[in-house]
Amino acid sequence: MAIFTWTGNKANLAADATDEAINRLVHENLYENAPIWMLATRMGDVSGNGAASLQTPTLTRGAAATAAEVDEDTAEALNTVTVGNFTAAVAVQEYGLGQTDLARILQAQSFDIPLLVQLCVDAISQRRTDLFTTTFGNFSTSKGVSGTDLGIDAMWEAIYASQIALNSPAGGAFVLKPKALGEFQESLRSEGGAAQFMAATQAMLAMKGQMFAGTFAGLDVYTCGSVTDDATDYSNALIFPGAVGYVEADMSRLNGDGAIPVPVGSSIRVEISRDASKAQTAVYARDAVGFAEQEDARGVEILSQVA
Amino acid sequence: MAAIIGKRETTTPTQVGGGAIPHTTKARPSFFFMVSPRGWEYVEGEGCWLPVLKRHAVEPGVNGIQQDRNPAQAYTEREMAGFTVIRPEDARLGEFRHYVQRLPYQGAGRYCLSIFETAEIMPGGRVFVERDEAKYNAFRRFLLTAGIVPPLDPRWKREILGEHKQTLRRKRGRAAQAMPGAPAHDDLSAYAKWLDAATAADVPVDKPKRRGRKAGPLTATPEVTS
Repeated sequence: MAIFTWTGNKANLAADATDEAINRLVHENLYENAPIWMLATRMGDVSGNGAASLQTPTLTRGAAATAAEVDEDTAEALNTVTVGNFTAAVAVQEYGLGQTDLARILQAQSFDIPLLVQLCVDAISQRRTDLFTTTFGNFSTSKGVSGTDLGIDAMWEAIYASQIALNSPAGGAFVLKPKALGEFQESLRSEGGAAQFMAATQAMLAMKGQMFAGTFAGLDVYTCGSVTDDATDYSNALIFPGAVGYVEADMSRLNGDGAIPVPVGSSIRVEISRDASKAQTAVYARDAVGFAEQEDARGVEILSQVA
Repeated sequence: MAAIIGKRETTTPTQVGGGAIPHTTKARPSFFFMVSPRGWEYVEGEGCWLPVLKRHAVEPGVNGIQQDRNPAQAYTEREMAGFTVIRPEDARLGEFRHYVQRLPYQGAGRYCLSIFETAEIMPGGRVFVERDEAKYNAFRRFLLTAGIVPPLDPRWKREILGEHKQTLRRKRGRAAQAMPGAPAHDDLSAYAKWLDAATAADVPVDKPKRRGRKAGPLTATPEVTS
């Protein structure tokens, strides 16, 4: 977290600097920790669209060309650029943190505003991760056996299913619940296959974030506590670029209503509130975002037991 | 005008001991069940193939759900993608109608389970959720016999079994390299037995009920009045 000190003497400049500081905090805390939701593809911005939903066409990929007709009179068969679509809807996600004057007086060290901003933006990032992982249950292909530990078989089955759907799976990533990762590592040790797993090194962690656990058969493995469950099985996943997308709405359209202005294109808005009647200072963060399954063939759900 | 019917949200929660789910437990959004065309599994205890019920979260910002939590658009999208959507408000579900229950929750958001699950708060705040498998499987059987979920297509069954056979081959290779008496051998024989049973089994079919016939003429002659 960066620390900002303003030493100017003009009130409006001080206010500008505070706005800039808070917005920089938002950006740093949202993106610089390499959050796992960034495995999703940003699809666009719906601000000004008049609707919360964005219906986006899915591009035709992996098609092969055909031989041309020799007579040159037959028109070439025209392929469509898109092969379906998906809809993502933006919804406002919010988080507020406040403390009373009494709490601020009593505690040894006061929680300053930048810390509250950081905690709020962390909560927003966490929420994005939750939304991202909630989409996994929608993939029509599921691997792994309900009510059993995650083993090396389920991982291979997911790779195999992706191979069938995508011809050559590359650039994919496993997202596993920490418990499922432990089971998988146990399976690697006991059933063979350790050679295919490369544990994360310091350099890899620095690049890919602290959720990165290593690579298996050339595919990244991430661990994430946000992976959802249906009380019996966790909904882990193997996803490829284009499996999950997200849309945002630009909060800068609200600038000028008295709150802290946000940079153009930012979907996150942080406001500081002071309620004298309640003797309370609070920070609120709101994020206009929506995640959706984008292309079904690019994701495989992998089941592993909860208990 | 359509009647407005409330959803089943239990005021007396099924969690043992009462109270509310502590905020330290992650929220669980409301959901609806859906079945993928290839979402089938052989259930050993039942001796038949049953549909796998996937949960579509009804959470604003996920898979097309808007701020007001209206799932209508998600229903349509999932159906266009080939899924069979089990709408909680579907009158054909009978006693299973409104199968989502919302439990009292101390945190922000919602904590929802299906009516087949119970939550128990342990000392210290840990929450255990357990599913009544017999009741859950009865629901899955009902979906088939009531015609809400179409039966398993034999081609899907063949493909699913094909993947299991591949796993069996892997297990066989692993057992061949293992010492006699190693767990890999037990694992292989259990899996082979399970796969044999799965191959032989089919979806459950309700036997047609015999209709009782009242005594009297076989064909009714309409009365003609002039």
